[in-house]
Amino acid sequence: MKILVLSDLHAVLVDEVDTHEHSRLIVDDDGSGEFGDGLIGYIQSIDSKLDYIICCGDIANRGQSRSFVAGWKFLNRLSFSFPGSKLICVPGNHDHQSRPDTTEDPTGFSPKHQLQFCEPSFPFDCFQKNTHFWAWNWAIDSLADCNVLSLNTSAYHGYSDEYKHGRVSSETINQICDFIESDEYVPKPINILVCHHHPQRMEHAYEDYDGEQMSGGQSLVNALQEIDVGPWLVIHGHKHFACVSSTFSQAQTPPIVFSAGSTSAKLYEGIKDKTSNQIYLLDIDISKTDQKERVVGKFKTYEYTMANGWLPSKSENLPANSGFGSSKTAIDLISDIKSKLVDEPFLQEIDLIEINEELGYFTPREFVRLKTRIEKHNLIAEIDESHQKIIEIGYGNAH
Amino acid sequence: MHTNIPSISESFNAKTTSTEELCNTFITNDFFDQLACPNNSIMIGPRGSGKTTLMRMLEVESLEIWNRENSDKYRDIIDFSGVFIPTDRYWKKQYEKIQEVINSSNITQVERERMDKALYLLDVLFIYHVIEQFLSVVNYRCSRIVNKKNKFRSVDISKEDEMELVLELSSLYGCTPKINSIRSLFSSIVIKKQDISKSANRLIKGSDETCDLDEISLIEILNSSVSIVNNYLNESHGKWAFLFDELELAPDLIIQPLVDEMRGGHKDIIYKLALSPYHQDISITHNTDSSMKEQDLNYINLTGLNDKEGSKFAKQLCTSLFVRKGLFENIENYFESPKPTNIDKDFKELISKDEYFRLYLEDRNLIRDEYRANDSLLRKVKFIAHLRNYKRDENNQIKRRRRPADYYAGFDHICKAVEYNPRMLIGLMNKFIPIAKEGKVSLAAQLNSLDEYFQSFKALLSTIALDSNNSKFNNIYDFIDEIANYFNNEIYGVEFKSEPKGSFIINDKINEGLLEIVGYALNAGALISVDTDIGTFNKKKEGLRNVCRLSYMFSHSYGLLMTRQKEMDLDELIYSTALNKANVNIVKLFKNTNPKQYNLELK
Repeated sequence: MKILVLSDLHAVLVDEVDTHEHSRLIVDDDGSGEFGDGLIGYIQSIDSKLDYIICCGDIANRGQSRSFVAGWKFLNRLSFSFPGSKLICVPGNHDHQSRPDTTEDPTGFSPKHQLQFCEPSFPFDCFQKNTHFWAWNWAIDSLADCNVLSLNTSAYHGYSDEYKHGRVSSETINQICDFIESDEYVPKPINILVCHHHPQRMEHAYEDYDGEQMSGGQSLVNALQEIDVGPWLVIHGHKHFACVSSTFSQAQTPPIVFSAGSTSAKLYEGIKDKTSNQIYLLDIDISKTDQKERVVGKFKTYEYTMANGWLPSKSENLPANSGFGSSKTAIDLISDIKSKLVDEPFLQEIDLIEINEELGYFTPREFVRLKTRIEKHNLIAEIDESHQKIIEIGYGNAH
Repeated sequence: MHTNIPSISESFNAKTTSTEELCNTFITNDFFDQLACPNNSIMIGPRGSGKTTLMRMLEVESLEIWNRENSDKYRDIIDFSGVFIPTDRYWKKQYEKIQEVINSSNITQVERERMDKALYLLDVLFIYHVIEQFLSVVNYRCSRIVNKKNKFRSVDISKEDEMELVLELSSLYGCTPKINSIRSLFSSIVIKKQDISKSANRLIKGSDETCDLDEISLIEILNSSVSIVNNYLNESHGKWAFLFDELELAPDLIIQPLVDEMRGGHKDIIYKLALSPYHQDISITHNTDSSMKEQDLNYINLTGLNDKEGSKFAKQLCTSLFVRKGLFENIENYFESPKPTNIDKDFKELISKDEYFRLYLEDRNLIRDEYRANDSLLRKVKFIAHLRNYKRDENNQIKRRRRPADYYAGFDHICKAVEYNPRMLIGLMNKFIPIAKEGKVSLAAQLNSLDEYFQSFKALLSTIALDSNNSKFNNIYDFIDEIANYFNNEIYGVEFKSEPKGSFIINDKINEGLLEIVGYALNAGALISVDTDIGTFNKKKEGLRNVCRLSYMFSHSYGLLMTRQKEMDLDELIYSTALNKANVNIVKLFKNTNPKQYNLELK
C-alpha cells in the first residue's frame, strides 16, 4: 500500500508578497505555482502509482482563507495527477481562524467557517462524511485495505489559548471507540489515524518544553489499543520536525507514529539544521502487517534544497530510506551476523539477504543503534547508509 | 517548429559515460579489432577521435554487459582482462607547477627537498591509482554478487582463498584493509591515495611532511600483482591488459618506463597506451635501439582516416543514433543532397569572369563548346573552378558574406568535415535528429549546424593562448586562421592554380616554439597529420618529417577544398604570412611564479 505523505504546506499567495517569507509554496488562486508544479512533476517522476495521498494539515498560512482555498486546490491538482489515488486530509491550526482578531473579516469570526464551506468540499468529497467530521470532529473511512480515522485536533481553537495546542476531548474518544466496537466498523489489516497535532510531546525536536501536543492524545492512543482491532499507524504534522517513533503502550506492539516534517514552510531556526522540507513515500507491507499484527513498512524521504531542488534526503531526520515494524532489535541482528560468521570469514550482500531485508524495516534510530553495536562487537562493516543495508561485514583485522 | 533544441555542446564524452550507455552505443570497427589483439598497442588520435571509447570497451565489465551484435564474438576472441586507467589532468598540472618551482633560481635547499618529496608522492599517487583500477577489475571478476549473464572472465574463488590473496596483496601495497576481502582492500587503497594526495598538497604549500613510503616502481608492482592474482585465481597464463588513456597527461617519469616495458615485459601483461598526436617528452619511436615499431607493438592511428573507412564508420555510427530515436530509413535519405556541380556552367561562367582561368584552359587546349564531367583532363580542376566561380561576381570580384557553397553539405561531406570524429558526429547528429523527424535536413540546416560546430571549435582553439610580438596572434585559432587564409588565397587569388597548396611539411629544422604550437593544434584536431604511419611526434625532433593539413572543419568557412592538397614547407608558409617574425610561442600558464596579484590602479 503506497502512501504519499505531505504536511504543513503553509501555502501563500503570489500577490501577497509580504507573506512569501513564510513558505516556498507560492500559488495563485487556482493553486498553481512554480514550486507546487515542480513538486507534482517530481513525484510523478519517482512513482506513478499511489494509493493514498495524506496531508496532515496547515494547508493555509495563519488562517488566511484565500491561501487555504488555493492550497486545497493545489492538493486536489496533485491528487488528479495520480488517478486512482485517494486524497485524505485534516485541518491544522493554521487552517482555522484560531486567534480572535478584530480586523475586517467578511465571514465574521468563526474558526472553521471557511473550511466547512469551501469548494471543493473539505476534507471529504462526501457530504455525509463532511457533516460527521465537522459535527463531531472526527470521521472514519473504511477503505480497501485500511480504516482511516481523520481527527480534527484544532477543533477547539478560537477559545482562549486553545490555539496553543491540539485537543481531543474524552467525549470524542468515547464516540470513536464506540463506533469502532460497533458492527459498523469492519476490521482491516491496518488502521491509520491522521491528525495535525502530535499525540505525545516532542521535546527532542526543539530541545525545549513542548506544550503543543494533542491534549488527550495519550488517552486516545491508549483507548485505541484497548479496543484491539489491529495495528495503528499515526500520521501527523505540526512540529515541522520529522521522525519515526512509537506511542505509549501497555502492549508489545505500540502504534507507530510517523511525524511528518513540513513540505514547504520556511523552517524555524531551531530545526533547520536538523531536518528539511520533505515529502514521504510510505510502502506498507499489508501482508506482513496482517500477519504480525504490527505496522510493517518502509518509507522513502525526499527533501527540497535551494541548490538541488527535490532529491532523496540526506538528512538524518528523516533519511532517504528507512522503515518501521521490524520485530527484531539491533542486538538480534548482531547475533544473527555473528552466527553466520562462525562458518564464514566475512559476509557479503549475498550472504546478508535476510538480514538486510529485516534491516529495511528498522526505524532510523534503531539503525543507528545497530551501527553502534557493530563497533562494540568488534565487527567492521561497509554500510550503504542511503539504503540502510550492510554491504560487507566481518571481524576486523585486529580481531 | 522544433521544440527540442539540442545544445551544440551536447556531446558524448566516453570518460564520464556509464558503462551501460557506452555498450549500448558502441559501433565496432577495424580500430577496435586491432586494439583487441593480445599485443602491446599504441593508439594515436586527437580529442574526440574515439580513443577512450575503444579502450573502455576492452574493460572486463564492458565486455560482460555488452549485448549487441558481435559482442559474443569479441568475448570469445579476447582472452585478456582489460584494466582501464584514466588519467587526471590535475596531475600533469601539479607536476609542471612543482617543476617550475624547482627550476626557479631563488629556491632554497629546504624548499627543493620539499618539492622533490612532493614529486615523489605524485609518482606514488599514480601508482596507487593504477592499483586501484586493477583491484576494481579483480573485484569484479571475483564478485559473487554481480549478476553476470555472460560470465566473461568471471572466476569463483572461495572466501578463504580471497582472504589469503588479500593478505598477500596488502603486504605488497603496504596497506591494511579492515576486512580481508578484495572490496575492503580496494577501499583501503582509495583511502591511501587520499592520504598521499593530502601529503603532497601540504608539501607544495610549504608544510613539512615526513615521507615514509617505501620506494616502489609501477612496473614491479604490476608484475607482482598480476603474478599473485593469477596464482590465486588458478590462471597460470592469465593475461592482463593495462589500458592507459590520455597518456600525455600522465607524469613523464612514469610513462617512459611503460613504453620501454613494451619490449619484452612480463609475459602475462599487455600494455595499450592512448596518446594525442603530440606529446612533449615521451619518446616512442625515436629510441635509437628500438625495433619496437614494427615488431613489438601494434600502432593504431585514428587520425587521417581515408574516405572509404571514415564514411563506412560514420554511416554505421550515425545510423545507430538515428535508429535509437526511431528513424529507421537509410541515413542518407534524411539529408538533402547538394545538386551535382554543373561543370559546363561553372567553366563557362568562370571563363567569362576570370582571365587567368581562361588562359589556363587555352594554354592546355582545353577550351570546349561543352564541358563534360567525365572529361578526365577537367576533373582535376572542376571543384576549384566551382568554388572560384561561386565566390566571384560578374566583375570577377570576391563576394563577401556569402553562405558556404552547397558543395560542403550532404551527409558524406558533413561527416568528412568533422573528420569522422565520433564525438563530433554524435553532437551533430543529435542536432539533426529532431529535424529529421519532421522531414529532410535541408542544406541550409546542415551548413548552419556545421558552422555552429565550427564556431564552438573556434572558441575552443581560442582558449589556447599564444605569446607573440605581433598582436594579431593571441591564440592557436589566430595561427590557424593565418594559415587558412593563405590556403584560401591559393584558390581564390588572382592567379588560377590547378594545384593550390593546402598542406605543409614539418621537419627536424622546425623551431621548438613552432613545433609545440603545431603539436597543440594537432592534439586539438585543428591540424591533421597525414601520410605517416607513426602519427605522432614529440619535442625530440630527430628524424621528424610530418605532413599536416587543416582539418576539414575549416573548409566551409574558408572556402577550401575537401581533399588533400599540394604540400609546401612550413618555413615557406610562415615566411609568406604575418607569422614571419611574429615569434609565436605557447603561453605557459605556470611560468608565473609570482604569487602576488597585479595591482589595479584606481584613479
